[in-house]
Amino acid sequence: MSDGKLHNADNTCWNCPAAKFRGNVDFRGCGQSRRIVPKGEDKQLMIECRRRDELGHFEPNITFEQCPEWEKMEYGYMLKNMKVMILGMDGYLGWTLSLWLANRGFEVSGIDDYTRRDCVMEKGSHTVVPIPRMTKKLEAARDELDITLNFRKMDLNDRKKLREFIEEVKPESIVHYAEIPSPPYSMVDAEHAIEVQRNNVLGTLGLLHIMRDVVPMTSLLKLGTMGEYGSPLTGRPLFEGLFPNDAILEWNDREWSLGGEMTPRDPHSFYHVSKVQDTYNVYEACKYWWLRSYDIMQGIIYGVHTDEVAAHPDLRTRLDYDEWFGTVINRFVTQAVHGIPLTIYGEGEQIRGMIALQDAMECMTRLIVSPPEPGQYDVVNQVSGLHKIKDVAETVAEVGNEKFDLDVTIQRLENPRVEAEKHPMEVVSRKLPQEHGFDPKVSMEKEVERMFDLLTKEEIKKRIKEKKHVIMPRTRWSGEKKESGVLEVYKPGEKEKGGYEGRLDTE
Amino acid sequence: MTGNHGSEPKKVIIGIDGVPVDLIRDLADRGRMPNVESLLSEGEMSAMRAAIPEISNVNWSSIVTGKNPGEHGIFGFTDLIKGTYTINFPDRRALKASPFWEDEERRYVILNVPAMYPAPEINGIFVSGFVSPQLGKAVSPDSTLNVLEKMDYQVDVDSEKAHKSKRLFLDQLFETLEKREKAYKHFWEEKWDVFMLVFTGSDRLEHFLFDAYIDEEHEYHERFVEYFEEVDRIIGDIVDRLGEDDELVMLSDHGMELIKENVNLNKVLEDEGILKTGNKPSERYRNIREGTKAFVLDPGRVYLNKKDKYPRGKVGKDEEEVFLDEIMDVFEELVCDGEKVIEEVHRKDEIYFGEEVERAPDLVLTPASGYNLKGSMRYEDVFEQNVFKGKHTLNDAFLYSKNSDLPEEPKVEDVRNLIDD
Repeated sequence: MSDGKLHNADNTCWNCPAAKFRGNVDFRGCGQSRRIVPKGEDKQLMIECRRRDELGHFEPNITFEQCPEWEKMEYGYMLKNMKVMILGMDGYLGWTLSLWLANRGFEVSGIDDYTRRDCVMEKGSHTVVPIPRMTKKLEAARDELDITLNFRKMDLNDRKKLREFIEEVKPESIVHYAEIPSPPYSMVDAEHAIEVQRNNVLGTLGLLHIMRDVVPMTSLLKLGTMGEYGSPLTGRPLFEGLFPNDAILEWNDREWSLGGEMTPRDPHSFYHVSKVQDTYNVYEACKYWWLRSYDIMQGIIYGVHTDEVAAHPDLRTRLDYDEWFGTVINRFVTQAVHGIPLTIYGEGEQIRGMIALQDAMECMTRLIVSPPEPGQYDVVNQVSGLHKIKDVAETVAEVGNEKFDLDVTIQRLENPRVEAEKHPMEVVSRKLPQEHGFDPKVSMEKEVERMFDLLTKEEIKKRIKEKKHVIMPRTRWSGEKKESGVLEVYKPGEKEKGGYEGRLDTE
Repeated sequence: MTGNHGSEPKKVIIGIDGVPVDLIRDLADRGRMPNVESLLSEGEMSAMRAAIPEISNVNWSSIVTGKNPGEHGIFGFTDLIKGTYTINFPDRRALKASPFWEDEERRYVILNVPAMYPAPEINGIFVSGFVSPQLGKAVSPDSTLNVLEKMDYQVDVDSEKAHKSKRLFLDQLFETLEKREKAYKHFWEEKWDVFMLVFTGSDRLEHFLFDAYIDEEHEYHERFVEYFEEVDRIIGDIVDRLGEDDELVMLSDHGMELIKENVNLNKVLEDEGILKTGNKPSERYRNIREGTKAFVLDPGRVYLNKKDKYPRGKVGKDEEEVFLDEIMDVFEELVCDGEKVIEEVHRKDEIYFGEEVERAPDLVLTPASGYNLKGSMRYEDVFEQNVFKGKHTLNDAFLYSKNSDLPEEPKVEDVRNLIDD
């Protein structure tokens, strides 16, 4: 921030989850109203503070900087011992974020029913980085990092239990990672498509109702995906969820402002459809019930490192490499270590937003400490760079070859998906850097190197080898069950650069 | 006396919020409040002077404690949280003097006294009046909540309705009164020595429809009067329940009159360069900028922007007197169509005494008749009209006693003596 202020210094009680909204005082009419009218001329919205009872009723405009309950930390002012509940605590992101936050003084609780472990097992695969069972992970967190996580084994869709847990904990922020995060898994067959949509869409819908009833002031950080937007062939920028005020629709010699309207979504799997459906459900809930949410359109995540997960082998987070749950860079590095040519689908000219694990954790923290306003549905595009799949393969191959003495090659496969293989891509990602002070710290090369460091350990190489049959894609969007044929194998550096370049708009 | 009571004489206090003495007399004379009319013939009624400023929470605090604001610490509907420009709404938790119900010798039912939220634990039953955002915290003991919820009791009419539709507002007002009656009848059957019931719908009604009272041709004139007929009917019902020796006190906390003009006092200060604001009126007092010497909180409370008191404070100790004189001049000279707007500018130590005076506004303005003083930070012009028709007045609240003599020229702090006697 240019004036040296932390990004959320000027946020107020209006944003704070400790504020309990109590309706309006009507000055001139000597009256009161239960309605929330934030900007009434002679009506004043009043709140009570869950943490500062002595203030009685007051208007919601004490700044985070002024309030003694908000303390300075690395990523902004933070509500002292802020209570964060992580749904999907056992997963790749959920576990990493739990340790990250708890180690920074947040009070972390969470649920998981191990769906991810079950799905990966169903595929006949396993995480290449071994992770112990949850009880052991929790023990290690206590022993190694001196942190306690309040974990309950629970299905997101068990609304009765979830409601009880939320009532008990009264979280001040809820991070929702408890969805099945795989496009190919949703494309296997009817059962898988239905299961993904049931778990994701209905789980989120149920959660929204519980939040309305129990913790309406709590901010929901809901994980969406950049994949909700698709990749428009016109090159239209992918705005952050909603059109900016100066976006104009022109038709038949007439013009309309599109400002504030949802941008089009173009999902490209039944999984992505579930995320789009979530988006609308969250949007509506904010509108109907004054809930508040960040819908986080996260780019493809990759990496293995944060200081917390690296602190002890029992604290590691999972890393999948199968065609269903492995994300592209994680799969490439695993393939490189195992000696399989890196698997590019089709032309490999697909451009995607990406972000390293540690940077994603920082983004989440910054958003957790800057809750949106009541009723505000906000969208952030959480990416640190745009990359062409082909180029990512080159980077992984280069790091593998130069620093780890491997002989990495690249193969183009028949594309099992239905997607544009060559397209322009402009992503607007201004809110995290401009409003939340985020500046990416991890380059792709650096994280890929860390991954090689870990994955080239003998015991992990052995684990990759054990389940190598899960690497090649067999799930086709067409429904055919057939391994993709190899179109071409080449060495890194052999291909000329060309085609579209991604454009990341952060300013 | 009906109900479950001992043989000692009981005391009943009926409050009617915001009712001027002339209105009560007028409706009694016109035969529209027959029960009040016959009470007037039996007892004594007088105009009563309210505490300054003539705001309900200030005055009910004075009535139940017998203290002036300098002692009980409530100076208005709003205050600023220490070290900030953030408004808070002082309620019972901020009251620094003891209300009569703290005397545990007697048993009480206290129903709907404004500004007494959250409900205190007392020897008896307590239901707070407005502002009471949560019914659960407005009642004591807890078991009372169930009773009130069953009768769908509401503390106050939702004033938002009045802004939308007068008709809806009136419907709600009668409904709220009906619930209040139910509640009073229920609690009457409890054991008590002192029963206090305040009608607050009267004040709401007058704020939004005082013109309907004045103008007999007004669409809602009859409804306005009917409301007071209902209040009168309930008063009659209460009187019927009283025994020979039981005492009855009736009162209001301030009067009411038609609004001629609303006066944005902060606009006056801004025009004089005494108040500097940023360009975000929605920020309210946080919109106060460097260089501000003073600002006004509702209704006419002037605070010096003192260096050691506020984030962007300007006025040092040695400058206070000079600035106060300057501000007094500004307000004393304020005119509207050649008419003086401010009747009097009071320095705090002229009107308040006690340990809380330090927290009092530095100046308090009392308006000339018809001028409604506002401390809003959202304004366009100094003078403006809005939805409100009635405003509080200082000198014409009323006090009635059936059995006791009234003090001469009574003021709100004197009511406590009548309750304690």
